[in-house]
Amino acid sequence: MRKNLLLMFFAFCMTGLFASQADLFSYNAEEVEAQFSELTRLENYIEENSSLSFNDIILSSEFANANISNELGNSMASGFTLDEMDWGGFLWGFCCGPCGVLIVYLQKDKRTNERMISSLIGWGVSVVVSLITNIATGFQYLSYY
Amino acid sequence: MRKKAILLFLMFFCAFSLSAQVFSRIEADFSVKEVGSNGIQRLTTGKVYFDKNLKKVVYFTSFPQEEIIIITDSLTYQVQNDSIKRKSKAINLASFSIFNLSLNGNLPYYGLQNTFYELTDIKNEGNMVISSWSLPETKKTGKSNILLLSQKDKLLFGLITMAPDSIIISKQFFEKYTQIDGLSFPQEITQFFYYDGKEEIKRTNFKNIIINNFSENKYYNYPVPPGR
Repeated sequence: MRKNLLLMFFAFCMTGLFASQADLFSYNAEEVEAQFSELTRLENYIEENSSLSFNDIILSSEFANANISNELGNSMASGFTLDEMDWGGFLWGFCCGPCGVLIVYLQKDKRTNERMISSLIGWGVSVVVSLITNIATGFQYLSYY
Repeated sequence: MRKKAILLFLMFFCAFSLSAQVFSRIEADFSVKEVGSNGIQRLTTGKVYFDKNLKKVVYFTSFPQEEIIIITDSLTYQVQNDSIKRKSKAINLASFSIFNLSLNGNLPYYGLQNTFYELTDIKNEGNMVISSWSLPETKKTGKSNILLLSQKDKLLFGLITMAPDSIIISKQFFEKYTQIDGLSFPQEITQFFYYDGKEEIKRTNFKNIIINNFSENKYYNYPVPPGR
């Protein structure tokens, strides 16, 4: 009897030790709704007042204190552009080539997607500049003969 | 006897045709709500069109401003007043959009079965089927190569992206499925993004969804303006 109780207790502890992956697939819906409440109110207001512009709505007393951006959402037009260039990362790649890219990669605290891409672009630009310089130098030598 | 055989064949053919319905276009009204980690909020509304044969997602935004976003598998264009305002590189954004995955019947596994990701584990937990996916050793980028995917009633429910050290990078939830002409489509997608200890939340809602509308070609195949 004692052995069975011990086994049951042990099995109970084991199930508690390994949290199920199903727990990862949950979120606090009420909290999220609360975070979106202002935007939901804005969405309903737009539906009822479709002729008003963004400025009309935001400057109105209804949303005077709302912290709402007039830019499109981040993922609507995603992709890497010059605006996202990390010039520090670019310089590492441009000046130090693949070593610079590796250094950027190893800087875990500063490493971002944009910084990595910028360092790769910097490296690429340095290669192109070197090629152009070499070709120009080659032509210069040729002109002496 | 001969007539009966022909009738049977016709019935079988019709049944087969109906079950093999092809979905090639989808359009919907959409709204995207975002709350950034800095407290700034964004709302974008409008209409979206997608044709899987053209592999082009076209967003006509009405709020906060009227713009057209054209997303292909190689480039994304932001168009305003018939000229390109911004152009950026993008890889497979159209192929892995919710629209293309849904129309091709690949949404349950988020199209992962057609990528380098390999299924490493699958199990039942409660009312969910959870599968784990990772890149083979030779193709690991060292960035985010572990995906957990969950399904409820054979429909995609959640997708979690984890870094190699099991740090969660993002979570996505696909909910409020609706049936339109035999196609199941989620009307609400909630996304959580985590970096530097901060969280950003985004929710996309779809309504007035229409499948296989072949009359609005000018919207589905909106041309990219010349220049830039």
